[in-house]
Amino acid sequence: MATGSGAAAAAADAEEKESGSRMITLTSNEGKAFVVTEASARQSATIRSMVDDGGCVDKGFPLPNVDSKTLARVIQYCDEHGNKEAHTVDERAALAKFDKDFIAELDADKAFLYDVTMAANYLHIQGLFALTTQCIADTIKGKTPEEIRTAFGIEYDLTAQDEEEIKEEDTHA
Amino acid sequence: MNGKRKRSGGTMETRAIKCRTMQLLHELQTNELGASAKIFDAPPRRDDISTGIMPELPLDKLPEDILHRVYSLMPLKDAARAACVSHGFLRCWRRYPILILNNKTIGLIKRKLSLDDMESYAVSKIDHIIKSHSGIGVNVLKLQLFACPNISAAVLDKCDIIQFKVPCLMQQLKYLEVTKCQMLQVIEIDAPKLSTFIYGDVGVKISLGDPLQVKDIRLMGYNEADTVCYARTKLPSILPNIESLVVSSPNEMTSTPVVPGKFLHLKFLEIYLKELFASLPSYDFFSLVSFLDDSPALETFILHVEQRFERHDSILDGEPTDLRRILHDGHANLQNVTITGFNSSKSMIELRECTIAQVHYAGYSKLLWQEPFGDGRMLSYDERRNLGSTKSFRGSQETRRGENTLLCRV
Repeated sequence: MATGSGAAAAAADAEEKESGSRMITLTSNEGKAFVVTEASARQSATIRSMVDDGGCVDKGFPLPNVDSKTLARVIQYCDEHGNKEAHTVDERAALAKFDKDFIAELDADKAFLYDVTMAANYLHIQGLFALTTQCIADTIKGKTPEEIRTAFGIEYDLTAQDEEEIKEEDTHA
Repeated sequence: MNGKRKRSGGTMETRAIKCRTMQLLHELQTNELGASAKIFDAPPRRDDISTGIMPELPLDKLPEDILHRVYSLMPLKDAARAACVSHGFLRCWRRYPILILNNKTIGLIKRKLSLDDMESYAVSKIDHIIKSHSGIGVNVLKLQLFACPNISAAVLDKCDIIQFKVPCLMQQLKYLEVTKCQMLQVIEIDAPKLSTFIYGDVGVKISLGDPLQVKDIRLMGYNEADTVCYARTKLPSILPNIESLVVSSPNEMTSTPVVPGKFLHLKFLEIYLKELFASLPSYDFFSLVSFLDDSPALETFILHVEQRFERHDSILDGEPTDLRRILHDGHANLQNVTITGFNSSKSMIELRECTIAQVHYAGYSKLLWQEPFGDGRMLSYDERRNLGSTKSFRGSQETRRGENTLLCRV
């Protein structure tokens, strides 16, 4: 997992390759700062629009809804997709492989998967959001309602009114 | 009925969708799951967890909009089956973006109805369901009805549907209107008697069973620019037999091209150009001659221009210009030409000259002209004749400044 300094180091490397690219500081709700390339940060439509609207790049972006652990993982995704080229077939295959491994790792820790999903939603990182929501959908898929309730700890909360109405439809329809 | 009203959503809406839910579930349970799944099973037993799944995953921790997104990514069968997991899931199912409406899913098959009643039931039910999904984001709508011998008109309005497919034969469908469905990409329908087809927002892939039948088409561009350009380039191949064409464009960024493909049967052409931007005064009105040239049967040509801003290419300001003219003879059928919102831009004058020449060629000699109007623009006026259902013409007294009208009729 990328740590703050690791991300910064990776970002600094990327900056050397791509001179002139700005660095952007993202701060988690725990106050931990992560320095990333602009290309990486632009994976987030939320940040992209703030950068494009001008200002605030120097001050950095506080992200009150994202904790450090989640942010680090999100940045790992953004670095990969923002800093690497995806022009050739090989490059795209490498990215697809990255996505596959990335989501497989998240899939093992569902609570964390949800955190990353919510962060991707909040930051409008389309690719990451698509990846995580599809992963959750795949988990639900293929189960009976009862299995879903059991697996996801969902209470059966259809009201008597719901049921009566459904039954009525079912028998009379 | 009122007694069954739920907290969320109106009764009818809820029932319509729930009915669909139940039918799908019923189908699934009888076909696939056997007796193992009941709709109203007991509260969850937590001892028999499927292997490999962590219990107590906090799925309900996710905000509802994310859950909706997740839900929409599930295949239809899984989504239908999961609808009775909980209230939240049921809400998700109601917003599921694929709607398949057939005899079973709309609850038709169990009702013992006469053919007439079946049709009116189906129409009102489908109408309800589509309305209740309006604005939610339906990606695919499939209508798989019984052969609907008598349904003669269908209107689809303001839906976020991506595909509109009607796989069965719509034997009597004569009128189809698909408008303001901004996401729509595909229309597929087999309706041999379809003669009037209204659709808005171009860029739609259209497949009609027998496009040769369609005689009357109205193309209403609401948001997308270049509807006129689209009509000129695409329609001759999609609908070669149209006789009446009304095109409304919110903005034309490109002038109408000269392309192969003729409207051999087109008799009536009416074009609305709205809101041409001041920043783009480049629209070449003369390019509309492309339509006139390739519509040998054309009798009536009406152009409405609504331009908020003055164009800066007026040629009445004294700059001598060579007007473009068409070099060949016009077609012998053009009898009525109306231009409202006439302006003195070079390309408009050229279009006027060209249409006059064509009307002349038709063998008539009586053209009525009025004196230049106010600021020097030409205004000509005569009463309107036989122009069908188009907006009624306003007399010159009522013609407001900036809404000048040129009409030549012979």
